[in-house]
Amino acid sequence: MADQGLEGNQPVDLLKHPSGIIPTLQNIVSTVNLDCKLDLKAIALQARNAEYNPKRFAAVIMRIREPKTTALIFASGKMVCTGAKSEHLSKLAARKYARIVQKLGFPAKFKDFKIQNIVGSCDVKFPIRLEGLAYSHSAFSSYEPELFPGLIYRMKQPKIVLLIFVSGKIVITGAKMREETYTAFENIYPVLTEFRKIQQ
Amino acid sequence: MRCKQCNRTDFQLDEDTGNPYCSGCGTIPEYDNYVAQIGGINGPQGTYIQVGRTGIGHVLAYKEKKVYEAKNLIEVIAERLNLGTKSEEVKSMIGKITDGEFGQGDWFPILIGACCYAVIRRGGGESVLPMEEIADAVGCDLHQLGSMVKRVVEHLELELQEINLVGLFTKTVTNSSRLSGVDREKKERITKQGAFLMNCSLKWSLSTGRRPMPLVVAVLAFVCQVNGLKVKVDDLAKDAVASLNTCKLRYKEIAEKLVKVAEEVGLPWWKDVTVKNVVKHSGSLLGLMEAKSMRKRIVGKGDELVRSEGLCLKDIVRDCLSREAMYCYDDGDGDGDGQDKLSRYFDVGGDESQLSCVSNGDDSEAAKQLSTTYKEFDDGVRNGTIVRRSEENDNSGRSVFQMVPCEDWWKGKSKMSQRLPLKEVLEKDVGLEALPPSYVRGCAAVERRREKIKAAKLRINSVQQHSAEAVSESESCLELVEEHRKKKRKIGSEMDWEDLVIQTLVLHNVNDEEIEKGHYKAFLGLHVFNN
Repeated sequence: MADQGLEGNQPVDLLKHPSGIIPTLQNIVSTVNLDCKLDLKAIALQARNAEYNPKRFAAVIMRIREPKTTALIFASGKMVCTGAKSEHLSKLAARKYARIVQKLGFPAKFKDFKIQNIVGSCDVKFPIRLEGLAYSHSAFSSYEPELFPGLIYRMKQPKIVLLIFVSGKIVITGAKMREETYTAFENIYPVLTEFRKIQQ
Repeated sequence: MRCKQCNRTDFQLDEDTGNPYCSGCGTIPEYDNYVAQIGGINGPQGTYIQVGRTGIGHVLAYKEKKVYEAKNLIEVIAERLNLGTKSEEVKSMIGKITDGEFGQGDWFPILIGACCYAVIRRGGGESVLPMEEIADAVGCDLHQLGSMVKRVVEHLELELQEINLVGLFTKTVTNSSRLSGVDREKKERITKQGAFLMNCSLKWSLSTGRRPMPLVVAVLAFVCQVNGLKVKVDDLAKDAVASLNTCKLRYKEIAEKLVKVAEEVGLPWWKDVTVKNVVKHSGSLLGLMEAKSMRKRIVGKGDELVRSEGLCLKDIVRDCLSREAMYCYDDGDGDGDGQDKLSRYFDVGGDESQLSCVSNGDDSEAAKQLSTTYKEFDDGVRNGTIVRRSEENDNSGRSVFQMVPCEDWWKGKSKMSQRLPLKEVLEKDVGLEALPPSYVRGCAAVERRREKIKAAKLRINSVQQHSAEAVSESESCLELVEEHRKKKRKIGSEMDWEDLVIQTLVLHNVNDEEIEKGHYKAFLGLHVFNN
């Protein structure tokens, strides 16, 4: 279970996380190909945990409680699994959905499972001068308080987007591996300390 | 074809209108002016019409027409936004983006709005154009405009300047119909005080990550009240098309910060300054803040400050006290009452020389002087002995103050009353260094969670100990059980969902620091529902 994000119970490895802060993974989005055509209406009628409204969205929305996730199942056999808190849980949930579809009488396989996006968040515990950061990192930053309260920082390497808020809360998105999330945060941390608002 | 009136079939063409009419009764048929191609290739031909072509059909004018109409639309929108000559810049910018094609359709006015915004923000001058105003003029959604602005900025690789909060405030004051009847001097004073407060808001992070308009409305309402104008926040918010609740929230935040300023600068009566009455004290407060902001920091001398221009409270008191000839105590004049009232602000000991100030521990000497001055002022006001100093009674035995109304403390000479870059605003001292409200709330939430974790641990321990005792002492007293039940019920009634979640996480050995972050869903998913 070491890869399941149980870092909360372990001391922080300062070599891996020099800032001493480990971003918490909040959402994992993964895709898988069930490799068979699906009758969505039949699935919606037979499964208790499914909803299907073709006028609104052309996929069955299915939910399970453990791991608490939501899946979008398309007629082509492609499936999107969202809401898991770790990669392992996302894969486990996708397998459970595939099994449900199998039980409904479709020859579902489990092909090309891939993590598409990892969203993490953390708190640097100090306020940040967004105006200053936006001005000096203008090539990477977009700060329009008229539109969005946070600063959108588009990091080039790794290619990750960070939402930075004045309260010191950070959202890191766009990673396909959790290491990218961690690297992006470790890269931005010294920049944030530079624009730390002086505390009383 | 037959005539509907007389059923005849011979029609003739009217030479003037070209319409056919019945030669018998003169009725014009109800069909369109369709003329059959009778007469073969030499018959009447009609007018040749083709979309995109003008004249006799040789010159393609579609593009010219499109560009002409696009430029007209740019002119119209620029006029609506009072851009004046900047419309030419907008035209060239759109020409550059569209490779001279310009455009038509629903997207084009949004592009014009985005370019107007980019032109104003790129210039970084005094002119200001909020996105809401553009969205209103163009007739599109704010987020549509925002995404177009982003595309324009990325495409042209523009560097936009900081949002001009002071400029926005000045523009709002200038355009406000509510202030049209106010005399010029007062309006200027309102503008300067408002600009000062806008810069203070920037310094105190009240504007960071927030829409500027509600803050502008709140500051305007506040300075109007300070200057005795009866203008309501509701009306100003309505005029500025800003959310009233947000405006009121910002107003409250500004008032709270000024109350803190009163405490920080060490006003003797700071304990009496509250959010509700801070407007009454703001005349003096703003003056003091302005004076503080005008002081300069000496490079290389650490925190030592020197007064370059203006005044500070400590200096005022010191100056007053040094001119002993100007005032003195009335012998045996109501000391008791004065001290009673004064004791609300100061710890007054038995000996007057041992006066110590509660509010400011650092500058105790200044505080003593201040307390003495305040006492004299307080006594003087009650006894009516404070009068304007006249040359005749310079050395008389009465207390004589040269009174300056607190409104006159405001000079309007500080640089903080103008637009300043962020760096300079941060360097200025206005008597308070405040943290962003969202950060303060975050800290409070962490503290609250910490308390809840402690309580959860106590509950768990008490249950574990109780169950251990229950095993060892199987014959427990009935009364004790009743007591425990009562206690349990009492504790249970105070618990909420957060307590239960925290308790569950504590039971699953999740780190306290992790729980303090408050990501309950993530941790429940990872540690509790992870079978």
